[in-house]
Amino acid sequence: MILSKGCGTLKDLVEGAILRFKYKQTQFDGIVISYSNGLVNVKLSSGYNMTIPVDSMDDVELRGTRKIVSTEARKGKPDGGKKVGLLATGGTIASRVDYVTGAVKPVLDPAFLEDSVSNIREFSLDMDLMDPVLSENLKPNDWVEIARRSLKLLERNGGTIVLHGTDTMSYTASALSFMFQEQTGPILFVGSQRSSDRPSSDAFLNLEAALEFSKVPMGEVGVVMHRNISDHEAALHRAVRVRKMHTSRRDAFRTLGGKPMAVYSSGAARFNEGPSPASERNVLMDKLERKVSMVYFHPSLEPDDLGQMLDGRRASIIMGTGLGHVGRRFYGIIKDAVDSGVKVIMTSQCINGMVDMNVYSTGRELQSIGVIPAGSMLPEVAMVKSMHLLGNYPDEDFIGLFLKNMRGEFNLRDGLGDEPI
Amino acid sequence: MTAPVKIGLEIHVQLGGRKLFCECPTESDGTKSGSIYRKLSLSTGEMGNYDPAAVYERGRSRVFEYEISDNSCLVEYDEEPPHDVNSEALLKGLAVSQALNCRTVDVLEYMRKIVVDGSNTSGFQRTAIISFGGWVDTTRGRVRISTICLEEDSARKISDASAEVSYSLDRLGIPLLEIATEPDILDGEHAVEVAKQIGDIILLSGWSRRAPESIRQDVNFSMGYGRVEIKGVPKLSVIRDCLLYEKERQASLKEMADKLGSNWENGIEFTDVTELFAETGSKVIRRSLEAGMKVYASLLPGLNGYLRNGTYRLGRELADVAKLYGSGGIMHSDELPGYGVKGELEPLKDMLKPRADDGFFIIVSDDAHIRIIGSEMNARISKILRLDLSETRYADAQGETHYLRPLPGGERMYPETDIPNYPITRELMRRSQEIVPKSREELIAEFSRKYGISQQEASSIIVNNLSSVIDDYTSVLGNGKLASRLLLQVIPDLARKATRNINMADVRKLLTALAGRSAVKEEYERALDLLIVQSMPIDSILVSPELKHIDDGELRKAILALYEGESINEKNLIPRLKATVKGIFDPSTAFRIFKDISGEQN
Repeated sequence: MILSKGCGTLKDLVEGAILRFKYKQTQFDGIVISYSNGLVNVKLSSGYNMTIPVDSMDDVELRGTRKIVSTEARKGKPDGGKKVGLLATGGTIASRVDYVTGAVKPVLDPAFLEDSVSNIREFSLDMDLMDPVLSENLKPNDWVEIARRSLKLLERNGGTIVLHGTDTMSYTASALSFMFQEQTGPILFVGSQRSSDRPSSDAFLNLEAALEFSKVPMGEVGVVMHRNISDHEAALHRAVRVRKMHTSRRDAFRTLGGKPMAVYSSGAARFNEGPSPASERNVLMDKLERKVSMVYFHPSLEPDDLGQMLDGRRASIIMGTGLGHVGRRFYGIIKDAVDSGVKVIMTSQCINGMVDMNVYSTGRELQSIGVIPAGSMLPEVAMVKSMHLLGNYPDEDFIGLFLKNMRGEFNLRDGLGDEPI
Repeated sequence: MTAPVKIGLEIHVQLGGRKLFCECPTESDGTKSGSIYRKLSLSTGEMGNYDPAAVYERGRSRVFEYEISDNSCLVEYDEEPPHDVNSEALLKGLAVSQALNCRTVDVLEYMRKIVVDGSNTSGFQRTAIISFGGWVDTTRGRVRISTICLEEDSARKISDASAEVSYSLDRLGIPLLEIATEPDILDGEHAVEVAKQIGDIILLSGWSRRAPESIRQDVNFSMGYGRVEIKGVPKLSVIRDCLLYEKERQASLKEMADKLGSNWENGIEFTDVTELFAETGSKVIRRSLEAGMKVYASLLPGLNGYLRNGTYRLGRELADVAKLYGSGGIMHSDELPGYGVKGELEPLKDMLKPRADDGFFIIVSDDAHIRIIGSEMNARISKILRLDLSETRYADAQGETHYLRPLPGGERMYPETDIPNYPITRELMRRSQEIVPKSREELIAEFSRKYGISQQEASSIIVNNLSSVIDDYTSVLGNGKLASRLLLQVIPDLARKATRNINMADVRKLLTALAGRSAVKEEYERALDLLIVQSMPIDSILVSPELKHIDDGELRKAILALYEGESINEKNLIPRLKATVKGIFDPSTAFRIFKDISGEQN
């Protein structure tokens, strides 16, 4: 790098430095966005960013500095009357581009949604901001934290909205669904598949719909996301029946084996079934048993592998094949586990449909060993439910409660669902 | 004193093959499967500010329909992150850069350019500078190339109503080379020369899509009152026309501003005058009223005689705003009475009470948009009178330009975080050097040698963008001269006689089958006639008696019959024979027999 007058040293290549320089004999003006590993990233006056090896920059002239204001929190929040709690935990819906590193990362302030969510001014937001976290980093302790904060928001407001990353959203939502024995209003999980710095983000409609659902006096935990890939409709899914079924589509969240509880469209909510009514009070049972494992069965799995996942656990959820099967070679190790008190629960890796262990001899034999068929319960829900039951109830009540339809986790009438995926 | 005129060009060329960020082909078969509906919201730029063009679009808050074409996937629906950049397109872009003497960037860095007019499902266009600092030498001096970008093309607009705009996804994501010049262009003629010269390089390479809209030009113009960007000029000849138009428009606005001064006190205030038009004789207004619209009127203080009078056309500047918000347009005092509006005029004047120097106008609009139309019109007149004419415009087919939106700023760009930066390696540079497009002269010499054709034929192949087709046909037929004759003469002649469009895939299929049985030239021509003009299925063509070879005896009989029946000579012999005989014969044999017969008879 050749420096010209006015530019001291490489040290001047700080974020916000306004430069005039030559690169391959062509003069450019721009602002330094970053400088690392010998590469300078400059925002040119044309708006383009260019990454330039520092050695290729000539006649560098420092012409001033400018502060780069990256998406700062703005003051004030909507105050439109109808009270609603808003808990921001992180994820894409509360993410923006970090212009310094160029990556999408969680930010604290969801107030930027104001400009783009059409009904937000009807509401008075009671906001609680957690340290933002991408949902793949969440652990059961965080579910408890989210539940406790939601409880406070429920007590101060009507409904509560939880902004959450989509990757593990259905785990957290179903955990809260079991943890709240009674609730005074809806707890609605909202995420987005496109970050809100993008004009096409799905966050705006999802939040608009969640705000509308927050007015409904229901005692349910739900997930509110796009119903299809247009911006016309959002669906409210029951937390214990929803699953993320696509890596990137806006309508990744699906109620499996049935219709979503409700659909929001053009400012109005339409319910497919009546939700459980809101209670007079909130009751939270927030203990969780962590010693629960989940195993995906496959032809190459060895009994030792399964043994390790059963060892020291109080319950284990097996995602078996088809109607709920594992190979004969596992009978021994499963029987040992059941005999030592482990609840071994069978779900299906088909995800859609129910486990039925009476059709084939394998299923019947597994039942006789003591494996508990989870019916139509989703594997992740079966895991969360086991954690909840083992954390809060005596061991002998487990099977009875597990097989009881506590929150709508069993789909009793499997039809063609909402629409084919 | 007026500032010197500055003219620059942005030339956009679509590359054929596959799309820039997915595996979809650039060509569509025209089928569609349903639609997606979206809205777009605004986002801030890297510096935390909103872009003026984006703010303007948000004011129009529209729903966008996207028709799903067969050549689109989740990437075009904005339902999946972009895949790796198409390395073929990148290589071609680098090669074109070298042909235009540009210097290549060390690192390819994709940006998101915010575009919220719906032409991108994501709300932004992905674009990266691949090279800069080049030039072309023209007959009137050197014109510098500032940058070449490799970007994704936008969605193709199908229809545009005020509340809903429809696009097709067939064009979205096609690799687009954007070649921008510095404002070194001298005038309209020169602009045409530069556009042609740059366009040629890519056309000659055979890399552009074979489609009418594969090259589009944006024209940048200024004469001291701010930069005007004229978008999407489709034809070279229109470049000249729109520059002339724009120069006159700006000169006339300057003259008006000098007379009127720069103060515009937001003089437009609308009054609902629908009642006055209950019995109107204007068909346009009646239709709009039936569609639920209303008629509004406003004074234009001090503007009498400036709306449409000689070169003054302020009325048109207002009409452009009206159209953008779904209004059918305006009618103003310089053109009324007219358009079937007559009896309403006096009551209208009684209501508005214009002074002698006041103009006025009426506009048909829906209730929802009239406020924003008013404020946009006031802002527009004020901006014009301050002689800030900078904006984005578009050119129609006649070369007249119209207001489109404010000029975008640098705020509309931020890094595309889904695509990692991509180093331009020495290996890439080496590979691109090997394919740098050749000049016209080099190509003509090469084609003429390679296919054994004349320089003139080679030139026609190039002009008609048939380089890749002749290569293919030559390999099918094993004969470059025949391929050239079929492409340049036979097929175009038959196409003129045909009633249906030619299916080139069928043509290729037929040629392949004929080549397999070592057909002669006449056989190809006859078979193509059956396919193209008579629409016969390929299977039937191949067994048609018309493709049977006629032996010398039969040919002799036929010529003898003709000779006796009517006057034939060497000139009309072959056409007459073709008309009477079914089957393939060798013309030189026919001539020999004809000479024999005429010798015998004499």
